[in-house]
Amino acid sequence: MIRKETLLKEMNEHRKTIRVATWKAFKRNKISLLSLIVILSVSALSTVGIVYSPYNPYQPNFSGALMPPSLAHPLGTDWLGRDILSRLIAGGKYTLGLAFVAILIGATIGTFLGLASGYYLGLVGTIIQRVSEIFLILPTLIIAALFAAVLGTGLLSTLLAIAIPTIPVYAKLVHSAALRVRNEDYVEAARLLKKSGPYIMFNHILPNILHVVIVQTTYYMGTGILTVSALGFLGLGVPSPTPEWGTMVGDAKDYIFSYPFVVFIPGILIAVVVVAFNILGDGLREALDPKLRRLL
Amino acid sequence: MKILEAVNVYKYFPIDIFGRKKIRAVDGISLHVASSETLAIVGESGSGKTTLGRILSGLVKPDKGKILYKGSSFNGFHGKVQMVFQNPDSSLDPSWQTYDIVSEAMNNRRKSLDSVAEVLELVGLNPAYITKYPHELSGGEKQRVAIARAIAAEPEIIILDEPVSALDASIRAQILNLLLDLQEKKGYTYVLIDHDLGRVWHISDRVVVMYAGKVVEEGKTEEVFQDPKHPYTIMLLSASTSNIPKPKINVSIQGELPSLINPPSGCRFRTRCPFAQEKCKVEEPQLYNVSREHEVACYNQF
Amino acid sequence: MKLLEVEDLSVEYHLPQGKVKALDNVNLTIDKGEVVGVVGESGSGKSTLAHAVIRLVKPPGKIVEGRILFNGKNILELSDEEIRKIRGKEISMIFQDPSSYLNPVYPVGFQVAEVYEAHENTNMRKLNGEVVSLFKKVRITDSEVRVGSYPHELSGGMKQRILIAMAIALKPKLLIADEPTSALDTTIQAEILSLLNELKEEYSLSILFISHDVGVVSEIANRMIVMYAGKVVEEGPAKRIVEEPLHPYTKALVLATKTTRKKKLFSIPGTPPDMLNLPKGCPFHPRCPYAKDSCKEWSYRMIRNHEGGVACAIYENTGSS
Repeated sequence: MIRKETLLKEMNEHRKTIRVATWKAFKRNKISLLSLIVILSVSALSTVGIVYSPYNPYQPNFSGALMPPSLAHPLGTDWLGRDILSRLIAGGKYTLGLAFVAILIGATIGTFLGLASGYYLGLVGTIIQRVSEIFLILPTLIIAALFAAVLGTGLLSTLLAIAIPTIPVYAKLVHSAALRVRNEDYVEAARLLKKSGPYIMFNHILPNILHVVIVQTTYYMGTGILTVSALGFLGLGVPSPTPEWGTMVGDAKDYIFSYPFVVFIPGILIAVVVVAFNILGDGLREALDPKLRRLL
Repeated sequence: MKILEAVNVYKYFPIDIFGRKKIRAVDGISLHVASSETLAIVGESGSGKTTLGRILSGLVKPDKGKILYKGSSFNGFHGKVQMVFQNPDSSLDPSWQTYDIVSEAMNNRRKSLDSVAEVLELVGLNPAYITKYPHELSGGEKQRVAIARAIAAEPEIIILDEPVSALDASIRAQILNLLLDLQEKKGYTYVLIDHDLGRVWHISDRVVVMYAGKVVEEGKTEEVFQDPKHPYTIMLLSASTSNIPKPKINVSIQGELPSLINPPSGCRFRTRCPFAQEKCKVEEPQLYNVSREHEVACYNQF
Repeated sequence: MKLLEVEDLSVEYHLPQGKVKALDNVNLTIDKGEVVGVVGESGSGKSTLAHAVIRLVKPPGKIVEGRILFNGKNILELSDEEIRKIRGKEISMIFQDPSSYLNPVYPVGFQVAEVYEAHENTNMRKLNGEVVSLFKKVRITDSEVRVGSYPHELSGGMKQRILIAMAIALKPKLLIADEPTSALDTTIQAEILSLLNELKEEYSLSILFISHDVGVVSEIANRMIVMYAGKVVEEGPAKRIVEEPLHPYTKALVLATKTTRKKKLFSIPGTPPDMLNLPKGCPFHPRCPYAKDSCKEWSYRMIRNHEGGVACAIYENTGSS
């Protein structure tokens, strides 16, 4: 006779082995592992930045303005004498946080819409896809300018300016991924078992396309950070003196020739994080695809 | 007793956005499946047999015509018809474990490790398979799990869509034996969709021969194989490498299945038929009874 | 005359999970104009053999041992340039899934003409007539029209014919056919087999025909080798193997094709071996109805006679049977 407890335990353990194997496959790619470490450290610092930074990021100190990196100020100070490291740490919650929240909102809504249109097709699907296409052709910056004009510059309009253009991207992406999966025989088998549409969407289709969504989100985090920064730089995003990284670059642009580090340090940080997200995306794509799980 | 019946069923698939060009996959078919028998539907790929199987299962809604289950028409699914698919790689959800795959077919009251293990035992897998993911199974094992899922739903009819075509020759025999075994134990009704006449001869009671969306011959398997009446059936029998009865006349294969968008006028087989006459171009032959249970649609008499 | 001689060929795959011996000391000869069938389950190494013969083993696979003599030349010692001249021209190949070997954006006639161009530097425009007559040779109806068709407009059987046309275009000496009919309907399969038979006569072509189906192989092959877990377990005239198989595995394969109405088929118990973890001794012993304890110790040996051989402990010490 079967021993129930051991079998149940084995089932759970076996489920873990898949996760372990995925992690092992990911770890084999050293560059993407490095990217993950970079992202995690920057995120950790930004999280710390919510409550603590070495100096007050907003407090001007005119006697110590535009100081090059030193022991007291490892990344130097800006034209108001504010410690750049402290400003970067404090600004992470704006740049990274905004991009993350905005893309999470956009991705979630877009994924649901894409799932529904990919599974049900028909009129609902067509409407979702056509509306998505209309939104896709509107450039992010135009939408941002629109929100800035209506709501004023600030957190909310930046958030919406990034979240809204993200929705149709995911709706299209998930739609086409779902289309591929919905024709698999196991979906047909589930229909024969009288399972409902939402059940099939969330239990059979979503788990098998989740890797697509995760990888896209990783890439899109890079894009999102870039958009937050670009809006900040152009003055359409989070206004100064908030130490949002793009805003920092924009505000410092007058010093690019005289004191380049004031511009380049936040600029390089943005670039590093964006590149890291892209490399991480590549690594995840290879490690997560359930179809690549076979041994031979 | 007729358990499943198709009454004058049509299914056209539009291929352009205006719906003017259509693939006539199933073009007016009536047939019935008797309780506990194995009905085979044979034909080449593109003959519409897979679409017909999906219509019988309820997965595809016919454009015209009715499907009757125990005499009353049904809409949607009732769970009494299950299917085993051709491609073992596509028939199991790659992110589910065997336990979840099989227990999905059970209602909440019956869902338990014991009942899943019981079903797995019926298909010849030991309980250790409960933990496995599809990518850890061989082709034959995947197909066993797919069969387990089908029977876990306690069906009356199982539609077998080329259940062993994708498997190795040595594994095919195991799966066919399993299917025969299960039918003997549980009295399932099978609809076997296959292009291999050896397998049809092996397990079916009755056979329906399809050509280009139409039924050209139908009858008891022995009768059809030993005394084929349609030149297409004779051609299929001549082409088989399995040890099945060889037809008295040999019709060598020529040509390929015609376009289902613009099928030939009259009899659809006439473009490949060595016995085609003028009449075949003009008028489509209708099915008629050559014996009590043997029907054929051909003007020639063999 | 011997056209191809494979001697003690071993191919290994180095995977993250371990080493797989896909081919283990395989010996094989093909005479001029002879059709040799290779039968085995998936994973038996039959496809690896087909690819090894033209040195196209995909990484992480590697030929670790052996000689492949084609017309007396050792293929494994040729330079890349020399082997490229042999591939396609003297040895060509057809595959199970023809669509993946045809380019969807070019007409099929053009793709066949490219074969000539690649090897003979002929002007493309002059080739139309050649291609049309080649299409006729592989029994493509309306060949004048079909040269302009795109792959998606053709059925699976038609595409396989196009691939055969490409393969025989340069009148090769050896054709390697890797499961060429497994994806096709029985009717189309029968036609392709008869086409290959005809071409064999006309071009005195040698064919290495690989399939998992003993029935199909026996339709075309003069001689047959049976593979299990990377090893040749039986070899001999095709007719003899189908009528009187010696190795228990071959017996099982042959019996499994004997259909009788409503009767259980003979089936080989168990599953194909795990190539990462082969059983000790004879790899077939866990599934073998005749297995004795000594089979676990038995070391692989081909027991030969003048027309073939068998690698099974049952036939040890009984002389050649």
